[in-house]
Amino acid sequence: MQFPVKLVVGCVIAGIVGVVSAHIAMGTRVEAAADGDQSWQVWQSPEGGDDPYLVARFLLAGRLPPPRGPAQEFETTSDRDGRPFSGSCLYRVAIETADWRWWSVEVPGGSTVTSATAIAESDGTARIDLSPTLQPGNWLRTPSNSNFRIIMHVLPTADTVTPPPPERLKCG
Amino acid sequence: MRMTSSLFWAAGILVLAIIIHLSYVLFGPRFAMHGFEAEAASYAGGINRMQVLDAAQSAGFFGASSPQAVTAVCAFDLSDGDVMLHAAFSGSPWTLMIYAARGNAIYSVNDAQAGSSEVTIRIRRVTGLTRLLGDDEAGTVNDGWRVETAETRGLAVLWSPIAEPALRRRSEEALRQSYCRPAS
Repeated sequence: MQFPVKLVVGCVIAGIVGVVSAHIAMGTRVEAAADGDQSWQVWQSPEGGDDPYLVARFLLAGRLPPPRGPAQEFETTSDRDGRPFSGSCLYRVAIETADWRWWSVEVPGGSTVTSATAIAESDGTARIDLSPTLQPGNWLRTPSNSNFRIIMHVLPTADTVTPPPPERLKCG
Repeated sequence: MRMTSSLFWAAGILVLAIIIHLSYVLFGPRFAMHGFEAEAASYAGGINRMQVLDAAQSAGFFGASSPQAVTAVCAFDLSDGDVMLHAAFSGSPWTLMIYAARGNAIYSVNDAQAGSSEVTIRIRRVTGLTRLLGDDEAGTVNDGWRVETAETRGLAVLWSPIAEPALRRRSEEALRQSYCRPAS
């Protein structure tokens, strides 16, 4: 193989290895939000403090890193049983509103329900249904033909937050 | 000879991969952050100016979660000296975040920590030499809290969810009392 060809191939390989390894390192910053519940995950530095991989993970995705401190952000791509979200299913997240000062649940690229706009049940619980088709009550539209993820922002009244796992109600 | 050549190429690829890896993680966010700063400056009509974003601007800047909140942004530049940042909110909860040019959050405060609906912060650039020699003015701040950063540029973000969509206008009016300007 000629030297220039080797050089180009070497640079391409190095570029792929460098970028892929960076994304793998960014992906290691995710942890389960609560013991025993693998559905919600939280992005945080294993060492605490400023973590360039964590910062890069948000900014390279076109988002500012979320606020530190009491405000917390959770993310999930699967239901309570660990099954990836499907666009053909109906899911429910039931939030006990008394525990949190403010919250929002969103499907990125879609709609958002917040504590300000949600309709609460008589027991104080806000039930949010996620489906591609219109649902009564609090409804978040999901894509009908692809997997999706849910992001929850919470301003809690206590230090620890355990987001309710999404339940799959029915499919098809 | 062939073995030596292969090792040379493998070592070269490895070193280049490490350089690309580090560049991607360290400089990629700077470029992305520069985009946020430029967008904030374009909304505000320049740097060191605060702008309350309307719902459409906020959605474009922050993504889907923002239409239920009022937000304001200020891209600041400390090249010519300190910048004063004043945030005024109509109610709680609220959060104020200050990001440095490489995207790391250098300061955040919320309503529970501040205990007030208004806060004034002096953003100041400090160099390594300044830190080493000490700061004669330390502890004499009488115009609010102080944030120090080694970076020249950055972005301040004010965020407050609205209790009801109908209250957006009132919350925006309160947030318009906020400012971001060079310290006199």
